[in-house]
Amino acid sequence: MMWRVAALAAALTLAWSGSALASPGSGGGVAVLPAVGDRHASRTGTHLELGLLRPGAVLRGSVRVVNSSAAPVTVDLYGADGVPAVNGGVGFTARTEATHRVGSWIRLAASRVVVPAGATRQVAYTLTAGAPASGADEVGAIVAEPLVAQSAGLRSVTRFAMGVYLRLPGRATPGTVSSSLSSPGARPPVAGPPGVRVVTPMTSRVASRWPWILLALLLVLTVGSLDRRARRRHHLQESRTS
Amino acid sequence: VNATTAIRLALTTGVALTLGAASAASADSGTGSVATVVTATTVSGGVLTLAGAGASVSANATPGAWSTSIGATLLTVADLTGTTNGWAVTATYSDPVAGTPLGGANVMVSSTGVVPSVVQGGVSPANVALVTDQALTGPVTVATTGAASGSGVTAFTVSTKVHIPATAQIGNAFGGTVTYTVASVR
Repeated sequence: MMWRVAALAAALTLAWSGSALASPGSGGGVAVLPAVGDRHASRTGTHLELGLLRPGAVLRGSVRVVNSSAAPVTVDLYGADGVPAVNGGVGFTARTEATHRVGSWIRLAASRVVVPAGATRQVAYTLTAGAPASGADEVGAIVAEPLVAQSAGLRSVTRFAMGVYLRLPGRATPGTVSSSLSSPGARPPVAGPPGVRVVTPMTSRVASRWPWILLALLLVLTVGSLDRRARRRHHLQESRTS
Repeated sequence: VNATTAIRLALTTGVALTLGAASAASADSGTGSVATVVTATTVSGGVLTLAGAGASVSANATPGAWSTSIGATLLTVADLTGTTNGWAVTATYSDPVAGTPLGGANVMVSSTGVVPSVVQGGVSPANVALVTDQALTGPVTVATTGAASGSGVTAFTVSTKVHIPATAQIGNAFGGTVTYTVASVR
């Protein structure tokens, strides 16, 4: 048995290749941000908030790829689907994984850019909402992954994901609740296809319909009141005739 | 009357605003005009980044059993955005380009040892949620500040355990890629 173990130990060399980023503690690295002045940029300027998108809607904009390290970096850019993560929050599909939701709707003008040290490169994107109306919130990302040399064994790499959030019109389907970046650790993961769809909670749905509920209540009260008046008149007439 | 004042404000976002106020009045007493000039200059834009250092290790793994912790890697999250957003780091497994895939179910990840930067400040260990021995059958959040601010430079260590299939044959070369992704919490 020992010879077998020894042979396997030799076969499994775990090569941990660090990313092409700066050394730990330097604070340097690669990031993706919405372009300056992008009307879809979040309030904090860290991600894209596209709002309600009808199927087939096309949005165009640009992102900035920032290299804050002291060395030039070659970066692969791609769209990724949000996937509910164990331990809460959202992870994103790997570069080699197929995308079916937001990741597949994003087209970037360049799939690879070289960013000099301390520089920024702007890359245009087009997003075409490609899913049928489901009433769900969708989460994806535009990912920047520094290029590293391929190596055998188990290796680790790092990357940056800029969140892309949008909502599809329509009525939400119960049972497709997953998690979002706004609530890491709040919900357990949900099995299902890649792509994050968050259904509006029941309380929100009730809240959004409160004017109709109020109108219905008013109608019932009005009808009840008219009915009571009619009965009173009827009683009065009967008492007068008797 | 000529007066010029300058106030320099350094914001946590890494953006410095230079406010200059220049006032001028005519020589005639009782009349005059005042002009104020305000300029804003971006010194540097802070960003959120993730950096990791690698090491090469060999696993003396027994087929059919989980290895001990291997490949300890220091990851550093630098959040210099100046926003109140938190951050999350997730780990994702993907198959190797060449060789026999280990499979995400045969790779477990753990995170330990949160250390905020002494110089730049960072998130205290109590405010970072970690994970222990979680198989990479899907994305796993290995460290997150949640909705709380993740401002500063914070380092932590990730490590893995691997499980060589009991059916492994001599000469099999297993592999895979663990991708650590940093994203800003919405």
